[in-house]
Amino acid sequence: MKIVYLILLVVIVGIFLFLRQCVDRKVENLEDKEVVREGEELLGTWGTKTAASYLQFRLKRNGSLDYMLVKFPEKDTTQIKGTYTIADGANTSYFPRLVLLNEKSDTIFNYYIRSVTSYGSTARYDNLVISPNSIYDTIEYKFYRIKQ
Amino acid sequence: MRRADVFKIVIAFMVILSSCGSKSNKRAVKAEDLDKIMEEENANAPTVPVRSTLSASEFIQLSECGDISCVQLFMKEKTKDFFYARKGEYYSNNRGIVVDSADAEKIMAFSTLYFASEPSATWRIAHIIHKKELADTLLDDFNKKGFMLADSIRYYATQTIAYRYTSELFPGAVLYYSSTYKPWYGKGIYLVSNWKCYVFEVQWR
Repeated sequence: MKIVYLILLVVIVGIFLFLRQCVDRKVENLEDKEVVREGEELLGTWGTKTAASYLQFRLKRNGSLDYMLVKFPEKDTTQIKGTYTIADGANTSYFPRLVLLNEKSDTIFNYYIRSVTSYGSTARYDNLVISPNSIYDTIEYKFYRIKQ
Repeated sequence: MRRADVFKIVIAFMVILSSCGSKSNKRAVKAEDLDKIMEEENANAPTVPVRSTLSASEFIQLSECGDISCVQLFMKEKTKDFFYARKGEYYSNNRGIVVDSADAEKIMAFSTLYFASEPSATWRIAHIIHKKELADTLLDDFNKKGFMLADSIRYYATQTIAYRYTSELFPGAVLYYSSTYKPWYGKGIYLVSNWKCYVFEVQWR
């Protein structure tokens, strides 16, 4: 009899996850945003600001990309649509890389992903840290998750 | 209402609730607030070292020390950039790639400050730099202080040729500059050094 309850629990959890996914996708379509779940932390809109510019890119679930660069003080805006890929390192000594490509498949940037805030984190703000090289303690760029 | 209907409603309610409650989405920031949040995070971030070596004037000042407590007092104010590893050894907090003689990349401190701590030792303080660019910058800093090449000698301490620089602005001070694989007598990280070290020493006559 106990095994029946166990199976029932698994089925309920399965149905719950399935329904949740359906609702997530519906919300994404209606609101034009990514509902991020565990294991998908890279998805969504990321942005960072310096004295000279504001850079924002959106990694969509379907692999497409919206990239925007605003240069101050003229607010000269460049918008690019394209795709992105996550290139895994050849071995575990290297971080995976985030490659952003425009529509002609020219590379916008190709940076190592140092860290991304995990789903269950207690941090106040989600951030994504990327770096031009894979060496610890060197230059890095920090992006924040932007409300969509 | 039948029990089955209640069950369906509960499930639907749970799904809707959980779909709205993505933890990652909740931690997003508004684009217009980004400035404020970045400033706030930077203010709370731990302080990072801003340099990898001492400046020429600091090193000249330090080299006037004749005992350990003087060195420790001097370096105490520089704990943001250097940490005291153990007796006689300071390491720069700035770390990065140093290429060894086999072209292999090591990640290590960009510079160290070693001083003689043995009671019987001839007093010696050496600033040892592991990257040529940084050594060139420091040497350039000494040049700006009027240190000009005087002569070169075979220097016992670094077991190679050392270049001696003197300055009219600092009478009595002699800068010994040498590039070597043996910057210190088999001590600390220099026990088996296979990367080029640039050694700075200021001696007073």
